[in-house]
Amino acid sequence: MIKELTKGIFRENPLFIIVLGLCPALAISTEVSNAIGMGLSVIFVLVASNMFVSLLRKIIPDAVRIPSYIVIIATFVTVVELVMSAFLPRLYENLGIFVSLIVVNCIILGRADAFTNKNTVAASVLDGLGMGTGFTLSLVLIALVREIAGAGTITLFPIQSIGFSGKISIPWLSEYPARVMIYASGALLLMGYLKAFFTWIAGRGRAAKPEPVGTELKEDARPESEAQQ
Amino acid sequence: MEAGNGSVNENRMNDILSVGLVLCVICAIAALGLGIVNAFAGSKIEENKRMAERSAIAELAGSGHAGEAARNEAGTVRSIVPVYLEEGGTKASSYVLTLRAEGGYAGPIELIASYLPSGEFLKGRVTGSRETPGLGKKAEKSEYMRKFEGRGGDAAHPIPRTKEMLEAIASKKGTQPQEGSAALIDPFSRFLAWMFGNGKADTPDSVTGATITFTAIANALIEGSEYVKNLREVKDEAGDDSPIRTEAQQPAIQPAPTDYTEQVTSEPVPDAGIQAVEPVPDQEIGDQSQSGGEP
Repeated sequence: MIKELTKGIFRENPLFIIVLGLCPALAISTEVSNAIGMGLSVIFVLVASNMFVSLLRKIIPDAVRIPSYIVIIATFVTVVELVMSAFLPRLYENLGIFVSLIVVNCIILGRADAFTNKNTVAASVLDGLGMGTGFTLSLVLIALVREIAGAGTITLFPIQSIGFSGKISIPWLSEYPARVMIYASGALLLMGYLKAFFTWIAGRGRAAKPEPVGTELKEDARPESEAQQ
Repeated sequence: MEAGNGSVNENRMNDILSVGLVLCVICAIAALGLGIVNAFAGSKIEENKRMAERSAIAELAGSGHAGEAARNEAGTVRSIVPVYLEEGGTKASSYVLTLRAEGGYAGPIELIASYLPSGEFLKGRVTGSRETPGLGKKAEKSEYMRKFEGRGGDAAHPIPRTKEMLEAIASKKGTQPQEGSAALIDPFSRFLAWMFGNGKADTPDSVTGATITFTAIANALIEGSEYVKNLREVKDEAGDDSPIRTEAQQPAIQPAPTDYTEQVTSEPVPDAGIQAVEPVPDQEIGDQSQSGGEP
């Protein structure tokens, strides 16, 4: 069971291994705070939609499962949108259209269709939590590299009580940033390097302990056959 | 697949109905849930919007003292706030208007703009729009409004409403690309200026690809300018020096039931324009209700 939680963080990392949800990931990863905000929103939507899709998996007719998933996902995205624009207006402004676009984030629909509709509620929630955390960590990693290299700053959330403005400036880099990193081209470059790195790590792990790629899929499929029995 | 007898057809019919019913129930529950969330968040969202508007007004009023707003439920000019040079002044040095440009590419564009009493556009900002990111959305950048600044005061300096007018202005001015960039000292602002093309913002090129957005904004600004000019004319005729006291010539402004205008709503005049508004002693536009103790 705990494997459902941890697999999303590394072994089946949605961004670097499965390569899903790239569009919002690259678009908003210019500031660390945006990445955190986006990641938390995705975790919430992913966990909530996984839970409901799993709960309703016996009720939803197969013919209309995709529309049903979209309705469920869109509902939670709208909840996130409303709550964020009410309580975190600055973050909402920064993320802009990408909050609404969580609806079509492939990770969420992908998990609903590939995993959740064949698994128990508990496994689905853990899967959502793990995948969401993996997505968030990857997003923060990309944003950290891009913001430090591209702007020489790290933007977090301001904490008034200790007088922290929310922005850490790195002395030399903030004067001579590598601007290309903030652009889309920088995002794609970095994504390529990170993907290569993760593939290398994953390959090394596999060489030490041989494990065919197919097993992951079979593991996912097993509970379905159990459910059918 | 062709069913020969009626019972198979009936079964298929039932299947479709039950599938539709399930979808319908899911949608209904989703809508109900969203309604509940909206009930909690809606008022806070409205409050955020009002706060943003207030801070925008305070920003445009600069060192001046903003008076009370008069509001309009329809039309382009949605509210008008007189700005006085000194506390408790009676002669407005400028006006801050919130405008709603109906002709945007994707719904109305909300603007906030300050004008001199002569109708000359001072400063402005797009506060809300649903324009296309990368094209019309560029209008939300602060440099976008620079092309209108200092215009609209007299017939020789009209507010540009077409690309040709913009080109004429640009050629008259000569090329002054990096205007104001010398003032950007810290590297991050310089970087932002470089990245977002600060210098290009007042050239006609910034309009290309989003002509509809530009036309909508220009027309709204022109309407705002005319509105302010009309205020002055009415005032001159009346020989009255009070900030805003308009007669029937003005488009009727109905005071909206907001906290700004509590005292105005107490004596509604159906066809008169904006009511006389009392200057407010301090700059905090948010605290109007406290000063509303007029008899």
